Amino acid sequence: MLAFAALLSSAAACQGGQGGGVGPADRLVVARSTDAVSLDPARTNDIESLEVAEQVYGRLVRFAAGRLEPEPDLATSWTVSDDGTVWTFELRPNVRFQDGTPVDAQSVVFSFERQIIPEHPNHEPDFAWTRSYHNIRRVIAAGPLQVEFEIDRPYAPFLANLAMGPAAIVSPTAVRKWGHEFGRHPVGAGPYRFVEWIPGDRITLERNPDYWDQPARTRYLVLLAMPDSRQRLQALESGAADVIQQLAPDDLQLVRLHPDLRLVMTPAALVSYLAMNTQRRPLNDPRIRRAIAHAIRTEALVKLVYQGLGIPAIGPLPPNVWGARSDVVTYPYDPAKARKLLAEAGWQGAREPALKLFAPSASTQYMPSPERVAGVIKNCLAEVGINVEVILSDPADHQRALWAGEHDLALHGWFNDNGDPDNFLYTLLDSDNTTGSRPSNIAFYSNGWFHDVIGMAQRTTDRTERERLYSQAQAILAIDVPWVPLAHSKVVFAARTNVRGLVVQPSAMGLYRWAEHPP
Amino acid sequence: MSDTPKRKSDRKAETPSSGARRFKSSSGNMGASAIYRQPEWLGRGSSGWSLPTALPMHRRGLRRRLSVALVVAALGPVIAVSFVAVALIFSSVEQGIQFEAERGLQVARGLFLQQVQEVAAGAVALGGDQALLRAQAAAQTSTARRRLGELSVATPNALFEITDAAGRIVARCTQGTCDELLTGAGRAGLEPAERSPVILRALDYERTVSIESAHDRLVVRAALPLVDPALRLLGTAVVTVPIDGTVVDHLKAALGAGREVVVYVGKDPNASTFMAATGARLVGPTLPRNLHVAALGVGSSVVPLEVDGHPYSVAFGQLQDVNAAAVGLLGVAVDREPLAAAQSRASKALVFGAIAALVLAIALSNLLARRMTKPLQDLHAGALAIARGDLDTNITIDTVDEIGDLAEAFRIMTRSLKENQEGLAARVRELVTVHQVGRAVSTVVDLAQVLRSVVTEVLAVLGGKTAAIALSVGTEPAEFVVRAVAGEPVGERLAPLAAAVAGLGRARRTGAVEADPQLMEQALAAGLRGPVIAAPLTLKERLVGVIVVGRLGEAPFGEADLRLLVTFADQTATAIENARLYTEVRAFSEVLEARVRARTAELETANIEIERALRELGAAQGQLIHSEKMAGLGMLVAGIAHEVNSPAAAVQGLVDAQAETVRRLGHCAQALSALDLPPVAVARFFDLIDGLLPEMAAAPLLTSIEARQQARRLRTMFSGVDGAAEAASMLAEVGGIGERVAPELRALAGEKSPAPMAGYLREIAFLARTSGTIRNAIGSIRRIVGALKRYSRLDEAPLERVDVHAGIEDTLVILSHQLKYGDDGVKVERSFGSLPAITAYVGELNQVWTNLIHNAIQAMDGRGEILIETKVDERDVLVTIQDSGPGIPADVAARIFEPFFTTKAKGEGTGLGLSICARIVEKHGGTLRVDSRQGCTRFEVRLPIDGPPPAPVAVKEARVGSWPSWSSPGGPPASSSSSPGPASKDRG
Repeated sequence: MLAFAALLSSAAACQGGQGGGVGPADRLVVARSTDAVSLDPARTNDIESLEVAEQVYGRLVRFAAGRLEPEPDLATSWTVSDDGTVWTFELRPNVRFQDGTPVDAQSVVFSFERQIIPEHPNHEPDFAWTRSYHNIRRVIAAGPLQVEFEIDRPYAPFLANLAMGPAAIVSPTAVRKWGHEFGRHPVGAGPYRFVEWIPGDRITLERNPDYWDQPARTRYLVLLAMPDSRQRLQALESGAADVIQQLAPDDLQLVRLHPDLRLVMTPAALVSYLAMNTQRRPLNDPRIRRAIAHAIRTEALVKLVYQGLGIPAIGPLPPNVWGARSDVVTYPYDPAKARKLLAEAGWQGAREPALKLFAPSASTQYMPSPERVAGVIKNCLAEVGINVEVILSDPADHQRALWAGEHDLALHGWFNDNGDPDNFLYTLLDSDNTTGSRPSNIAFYSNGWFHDVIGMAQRTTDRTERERLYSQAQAILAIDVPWVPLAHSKVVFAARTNVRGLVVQPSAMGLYRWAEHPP
Repeated sequence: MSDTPKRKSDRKAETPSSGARRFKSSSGNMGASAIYRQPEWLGRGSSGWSLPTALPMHRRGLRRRLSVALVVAALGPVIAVSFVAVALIFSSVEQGIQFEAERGLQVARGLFLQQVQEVAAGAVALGGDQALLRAQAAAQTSTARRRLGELSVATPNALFEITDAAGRIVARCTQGTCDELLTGAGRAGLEPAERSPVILRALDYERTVSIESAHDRLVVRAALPLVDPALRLLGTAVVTVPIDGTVVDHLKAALGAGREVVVYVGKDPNASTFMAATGARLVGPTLPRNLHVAALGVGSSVVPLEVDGHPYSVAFGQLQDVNAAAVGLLGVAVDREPLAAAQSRASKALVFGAIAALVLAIALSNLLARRMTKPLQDLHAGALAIARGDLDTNITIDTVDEIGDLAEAFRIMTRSLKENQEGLAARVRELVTVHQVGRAVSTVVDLAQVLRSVVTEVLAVLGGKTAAIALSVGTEPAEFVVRAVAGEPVGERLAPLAAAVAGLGRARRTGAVEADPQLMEQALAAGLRGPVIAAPLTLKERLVGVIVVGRLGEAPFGEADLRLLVTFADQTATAIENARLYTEVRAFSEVLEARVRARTAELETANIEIERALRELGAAQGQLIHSEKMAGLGMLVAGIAHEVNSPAAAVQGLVDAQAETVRRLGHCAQALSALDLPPVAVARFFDLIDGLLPEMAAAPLLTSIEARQQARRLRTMFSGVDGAAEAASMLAEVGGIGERVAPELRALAGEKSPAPMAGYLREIAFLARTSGTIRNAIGSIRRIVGALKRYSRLDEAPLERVDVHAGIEDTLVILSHQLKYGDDGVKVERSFGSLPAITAYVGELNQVWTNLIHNAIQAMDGRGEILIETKVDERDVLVTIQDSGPGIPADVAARIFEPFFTTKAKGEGTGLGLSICARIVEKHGGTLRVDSRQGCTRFEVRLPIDGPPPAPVAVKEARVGSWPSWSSPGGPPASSSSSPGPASKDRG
């Protein structure tokens, strides 16, 4: 009888469990809105492709979990020459690509040269990042495990650039074997190895057991392409997906109320702002700029428009970018003070010509409904006696108008590339970037002191010193007010409650190495 | 073949007890667990070796077992498989129901959350209503209320509210009805939403929808801020929908037949789709008391629940508010009745089927077993008959199978058994006689008595009239003397017959001796007539005598009689030899005994000597161990003496110097007062000195060149004043401070000589400086004494928590005089891991460190490097002491842990050091290993963190035997089986 019972229970257990093979706990399914384009890091510039590349490839340095800060990856250490132009990296010994090719100085040189030298046999004309590496003069294998980068001038953010997707180290063997098709057969030294790609449907990755760091917790990582957000949410509810990305704002409530689901959020490396044209009357007067900052209900605006998916910005740097400073002068909503400042500046009220506020007509990555934001700003400014004319145009025209400097006020935003403060402060606010056909400093803000500080920070590689300089730069901005910083959006993933160890990067990519979900 | 019924009754009559005992059955299952007990008759002979008489006549054990086996074999798998099949079906159906319930829950929850979103959308519509916003902005409450009423018409079953910017409700409407009717006795679930968390969030510009418990009812409540175009907060709009029958009906509609939906607020039923038999809606089943709501938690769990006497499986999932706090449960119930009915039917079918199959199987197997065992039983009966001795029994089994073959074999066996038995009976008789004779001749050693008993026995066995033995005397030609006669006397006349038989050289049987041509004459001479048998007695092919038996005209002897006589003859010959040997042996043994006595006396003396020697050896060992301890202490004392001596000498010197200084200070004070300076200046001078005291203690002294240069500068400064040179040179001795205070001294002195002040300052500075030095010296003495104190707690320390690093450091302090840091000394590298305190005898451990480090220093001849590494390895602490010495040669390998093994010159060491280390370590439950090669010798000490295991003291003591106990009182002595390393040189 006992034997019968044992037989019964084992039979029942067999029925209940999976009959061997891959159980759901061995597989993490992530549903995303679109499929990747190419898995060749030299080609990828869409977030979906970059996210896959992030799992497959190793780089010399990688961004630390949850922070945009470089940490050792395939390089164990690095030094910079005294003149700041030669970076020497020591490579991690005994690391192999997923195809068995050793990761050595030659493979690093190969990975960069094929991107930066157009004559390289493995260069392709559609490589997306060639221009980004214009400051690299040479990449040299100084030893079997030592690589030297020679750059044209001292440039501290260089390290952060090497942590970005296109700086992935690829297997030269695989690139030579697959040539143009490498993007469909990626081989790197990352935590996952490529298994299969059914275009438009799914990409399957498997744990790389030889990853130099702790191997991934879950064996298979499946990235589904599911364009319909409702469908993604249903997949998550039913357990068909463990993690979903690009949640529709209305569905946030549902996820919050659903006991099996939870939101995983992190501030993105992104800022949206109201730029003021500092080179034109009347906004060349900082008093008027300060008055505008005081006149707008920024906090309410962010809450209402971003619906919990944004945090009010204090300055250009999101709080999770290193060097971000929160103790600068701020301009809280205070219409009385705004009116006082305007009076001091001799503002004539209704008699003044209307300020032109340029806004994109459709939602952008950095702002959900710019039209509404523009409307609020117009109404807020009207209350203190500033007339605003809102000019809506489609994003491309909007961008062109800003380049041309046609605006007094403009809604704009920036998605950071490499997590380095320089990428915000220099790109968006340095006087170097007010000229040319595509100026990225659309406030046309020009301050010699600020320029010097930013330049110094670029030339020194000492982290503490750079932090000190960026702190100064942010204080300068807070006084000069070239922008009214609006919001840092949050990256939102939804996951099933039992998924643990999911890390969402400020770059809007997931890190799945630590993710697991007990059955 | 006897008939079966009769046998049956016989069996009953004869063996009731054995039959009952043969099986001890566990109830029901006879075949598998029956314990077979050996029947008594198997071990019980009736008499001697002969056949058993009380045999059971007939058995059915085999048949019963066979039929049980058949039943089990045929039915067991069938029943097992059907049980498994039914159980699998049940469990899969059960799982199916669970799955259905869970899936239903998933669908219901999705749908429910969609409804929640719709409520939220309703609130959003309110927020976008321009008329409402205008009324709010203008604070026209009645307009706002009217507009809210209009808006509420479209959405039945919902409560619409608006608040002002402070969160106070200014209007409440449902289906076009506003305010008054709603206050107080409003509809259940539509109580005012004041202080609801969603409103508080809306006041902070946040749009929120949540599931809330309002007055013990569950509601969906959405709120959003009402703002003007410049985002000025005008108030909030709130939409509340009760989760009632309408909602659950809606959910049920999506789920289909046989499914019910129930909603709980907390653990109390809130609304359900269950109907009572009367058709009335039930609010929902009460949750079982033992159902833990929090345990339902995430996901869902399926619970069997009875509602109105009807079984359901209910999948529960939590309902949570916007803060993810549980507010209630959503349950989807699946009707279990079809399953229950099916289960009951299947169970019944299974039970009846099993019973029927069992009955059928028993009947069939009984029949089958009977058929199979019939021939076996016949065979059994035949075998029993044969066993009883009825060898004429005929076994008539003619089946052509293995049993038939067996029966045939039985028949053949019976025949040969019968033949053998007859021969056996004759042989037995012979054997008995031989045995008796043999016993007689082997137990008696007196020859005459032997011969006498032989002839008596022979006569008795062979049944003659006379029997005689004649033995040969002298050599060739043989002469015989009769030595024993039984029966009628034949006397000396037998001798010629004996000679004649001897001449034949073999046994002789004759029917009538008168007719025997070879013996006739001698037989007649001996007075013998009729049948005679005679056999020569030979021993190792030598003729020693003759035995003759005569019947004097009776029946002739058979061949068997002759064979017997030959046997007697052999035994008699042996007996003759035995008797001779015995005589010799007795003589020899007497000599031997005398010798043994002598030897025993000698041995006793020797034993006493040995015991004394052992006692002395024990004492010597104890002495040696004591000297090892003393040697260690000596080493200590040498180090300590040196270490303590230098600072003590320094202190002595300094104290002497200070005494001298104090004396000089007196002189200076006199000189100072002789100057007769103004009191203000004197006070200022002493203030100055007080202020400088700490600095003076630490001020570096100047080199002589610097001092001369400074003196020169000071002389210039003091130029023109009395005693300038003197003051300058004295200030130069004070160092940099001298030059600093010089101007002030000059100012204080005025026109008078600054020399007394400078002198005073110099002496004070000296005192300050030397006091510091004395403090340092005393500090280092205290450090050494402290280490010694801790270190020397050798034997008396109990087990305690010990810091291994502190012990090593103390040891290093104590051995520091041997280390001599510097280019030429021993450099100690520490690579200490983080260690917990371990349980140990601190003094003994210190002895281990001392021995190992001391050995290392000696092995390196005082020059080289010692690396001390510590780390934790699982539950052990690992200490390795590694030196750069020449290593241990292989030929000394494996012996360094032996006691008294040393390679040092006589007198340098006891050879006990390492063996004691090994004992100490082992006593702590650890191991000591050595690993040596050229230029690197590592001793590895492994000690358990938790201390020595509770050792069986008595046993261990017995094992080490004569080894004197060396360890502390109470601790078990270490055994001698330490584990020596692979290579060694003595270092002990």
